[in-house]
Amino acid sequence: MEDNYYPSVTFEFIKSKIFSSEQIIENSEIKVGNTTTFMLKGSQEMRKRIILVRCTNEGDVNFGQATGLAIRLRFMGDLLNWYLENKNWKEGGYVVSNHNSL
Amino acid sequence: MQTNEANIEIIRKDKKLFSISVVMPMWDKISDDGFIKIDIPLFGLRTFAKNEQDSEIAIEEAIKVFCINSEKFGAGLENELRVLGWSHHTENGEIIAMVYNVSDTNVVMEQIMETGEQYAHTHSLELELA
Repeated sequence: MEDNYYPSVTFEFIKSKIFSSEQIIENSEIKVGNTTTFMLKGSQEMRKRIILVRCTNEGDVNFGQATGLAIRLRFMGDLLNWYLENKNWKEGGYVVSNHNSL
Repeated sequence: MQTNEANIEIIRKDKKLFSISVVMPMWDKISDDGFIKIDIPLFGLRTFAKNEQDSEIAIEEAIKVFCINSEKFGAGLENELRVLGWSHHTENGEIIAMVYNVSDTNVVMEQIMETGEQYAHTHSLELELA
């Protein structure tokens, strides 16, 4: 079966990873509708420091967007673990815990 | 010669950002996960939407957060746009007009710009920056 299911991830998880990167200016969270931004520290131009997260799926963040953020902020490993622990999803498809039942 | 690819009109009242009207190209694409990825390179942003209707809202939110962040954490909206390649056009009291020009000799960039979808909208920022 073709794997065309890409799970979403909670905004809370994404936010916790953004904050744990320790490069974020405290209290820089700005929310407009479903869009939230955070600002990285540093003297670079703003567009290089802004982190934009949009809740696209009933409060959750879609797979493609989460992947982009994980690459940029280097939490890809933790994101894949989150999918495995919370959605039983591993790259390539679902994980079936009891193979004997198949 | 220059070709004008985008315009923005910024209105400030008592130096505070009041509203903006913007006309600029942007690009969207359906990602593998079925969501729409929207690139707004003239604002240096990328956002996502669940469907076409949601795209309009996503773009509006992205433009607003860019303005708010420019004022709060950046060098001000006009300066942040300048960094992205926009240039000052006219200033008439509270109204500041800026443009994004591409040189006529830059045929590649001109052609790329034509592939974008034109977006034109006015956004009030009075409440967000109150």
